Amino acid sequence: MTRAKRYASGFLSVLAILLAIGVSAAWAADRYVATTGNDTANNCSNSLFPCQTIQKAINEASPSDTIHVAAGIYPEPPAGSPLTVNKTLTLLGAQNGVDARGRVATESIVTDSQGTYVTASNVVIDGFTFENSTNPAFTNYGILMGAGTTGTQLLNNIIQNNIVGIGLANSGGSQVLIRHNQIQNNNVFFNVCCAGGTGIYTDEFVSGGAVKNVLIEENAFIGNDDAGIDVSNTALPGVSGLDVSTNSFDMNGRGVVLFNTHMSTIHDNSITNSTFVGSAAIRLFDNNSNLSIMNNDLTTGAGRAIRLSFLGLVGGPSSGVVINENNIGTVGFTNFVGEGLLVEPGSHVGTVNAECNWWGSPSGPFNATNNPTGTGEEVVGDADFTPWLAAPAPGGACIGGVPSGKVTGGGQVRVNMTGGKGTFGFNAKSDSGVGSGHLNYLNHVTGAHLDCKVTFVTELTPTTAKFEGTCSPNSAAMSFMAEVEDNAKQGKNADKFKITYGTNVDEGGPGPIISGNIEIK
Amino acid sequence: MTRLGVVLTAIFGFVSVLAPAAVAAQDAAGVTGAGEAVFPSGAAFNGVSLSGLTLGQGVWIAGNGTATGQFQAVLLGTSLFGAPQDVTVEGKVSGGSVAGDGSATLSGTATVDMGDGNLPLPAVPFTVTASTGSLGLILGATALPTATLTAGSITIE
Repeated sequence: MTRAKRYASGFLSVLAILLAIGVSAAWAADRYVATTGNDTANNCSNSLFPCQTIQKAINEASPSDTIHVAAGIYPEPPAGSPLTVNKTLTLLGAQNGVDARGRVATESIVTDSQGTYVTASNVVIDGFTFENSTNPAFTNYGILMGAGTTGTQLLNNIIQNNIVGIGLANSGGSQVLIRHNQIQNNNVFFNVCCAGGTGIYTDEFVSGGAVKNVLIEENAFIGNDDAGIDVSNTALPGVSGLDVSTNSFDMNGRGVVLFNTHMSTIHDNSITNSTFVGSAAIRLFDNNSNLSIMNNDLTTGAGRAIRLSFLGLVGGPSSGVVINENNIGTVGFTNFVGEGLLVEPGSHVGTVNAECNWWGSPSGPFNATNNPTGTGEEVVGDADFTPWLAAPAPGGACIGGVPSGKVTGGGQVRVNMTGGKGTFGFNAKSDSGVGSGHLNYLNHVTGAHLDCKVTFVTELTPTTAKFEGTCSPNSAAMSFMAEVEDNAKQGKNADKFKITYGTNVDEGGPGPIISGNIEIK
Repeated sequence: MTRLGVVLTAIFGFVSVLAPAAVAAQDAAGVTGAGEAVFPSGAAFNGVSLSGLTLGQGVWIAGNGTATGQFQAVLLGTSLFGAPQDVTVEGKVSGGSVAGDGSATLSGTATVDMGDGNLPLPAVPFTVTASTGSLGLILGATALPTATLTAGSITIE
């Protein structure tokens, strides 16, 4: 083969590869829109001669193009239709990249009365204001993610004064990301129709089925009279992989409402001044499962902090709801009008784990049966709230309500499937929640050794105890947590000991000890 | 819902959390340990030649000489016929003291399983003298030589 032929062959090979993988991304174009522009005979590709409407630029664009929208007000004609994003595009408003929370700036404002409708996947909308979607005949939403779409990203937008702020859908291929938005006062037709009064809303009709893999973080929800986030999907399978974190909710009817939501988490949010009398800052209805509510600050509201109910609309009662390390109420009288936690009969399968929360008082939550001297927010229903945090999180020790007593143990456990053994010896004591004592442990198989002080006893019942502490520098880990059971006077083959340290979880469990004894007094 | 009188009650509640209870004042010392130790040559118990032991212990010692806690040890031995024979000691500690040199003495009764297939021996008196690096054990009428700790740790505080 001649050199020329080899070059030609190589060029064709490269071209074939480019065509095979798709080169549209490499050739993605920029389009420009400004209120001073002109849509006539314009493909919007020259920044000096921008189009006048966003819809025109979308129509002219190819997938993967970026549309730059200058500051100004965009009513988006023609009247009677929403602004429709039907290609995988990036729309950049004047404030793209600028967090919308508290933002005061010149904005690219979309004011289509029928809202904005995203019908393509992996659309990015960054740095706009969407407002005045007030016509219930069509989308109802400031921005509606169309059923079947996936991977929509809404970043740095102000979404306000619509019937509903955002309609949520994600078929699950890519994560939906909603970040750094300010979602406020979406109250047109509140209590009239069509989910009015909600910041982010979804149900089976909006989403077209299951919703998966959604991250809603670092947004501000303000003054949405129904709820900041309302997941009312009452058809199976519902919503999964929903992560609501580090948002602030203030003066909304409720912070978060969930139906039929699974394997999801609400964490590190601040929810204040919820206005819905009788409801709750976090309101759980039917069929939620494996839901963790952690590290949130829930303060002041016209209803409850957290309420669980079962209406019989979808599936069964909720299950696996875990509520830990939240600050629920503050010391004083300006807290929740209703309970800190209300678990209605039949709303949850088994006892709700509500341990290690701050309830607004070192004496723990008021509970008529199990803590009548508590002066914090009230807990009603089937919830395990002991121990509670003796001071607010983070940092508050989870020792509230642990009775005084001692636990001692010495013996051996199995540490692997081939008969390997570990030896333990400990004394631990709770003195009205103040823990002390020591633990020594040796895994004879790995040689891992622990020499540790007991700092907290987090559970102490007649038959069970949990304690934790910090270890000396020559130990295999910096800290440990142990769980023990005193099931018989002779501990061999009856009592239990398991220990977590470093990456070793529940070593020695779940079976009984093979020698020795554990005693709780 | 926060109750009336929350301020005073909260203050008293907080004080009660911090106030030491009687149970704390009663305990003068604690002894814990988990480890492995070796006997000097010639150690034996009831005809079983012993090479070492593993131990696990957790005890609170009160100022009046009483104690509560557990002592467990496996004496690693060889039978008269050369086969491995481990002797398991599971003791309940009822008395204890800490000496000026920092060592602790624990006493009580134990169940001793000779590991020979026979039923364990109940209520065998025992005395343990523990320091941070060694362990002496008197089991019934037999005083075993002091074993030296080779792994793990013993804490007396």
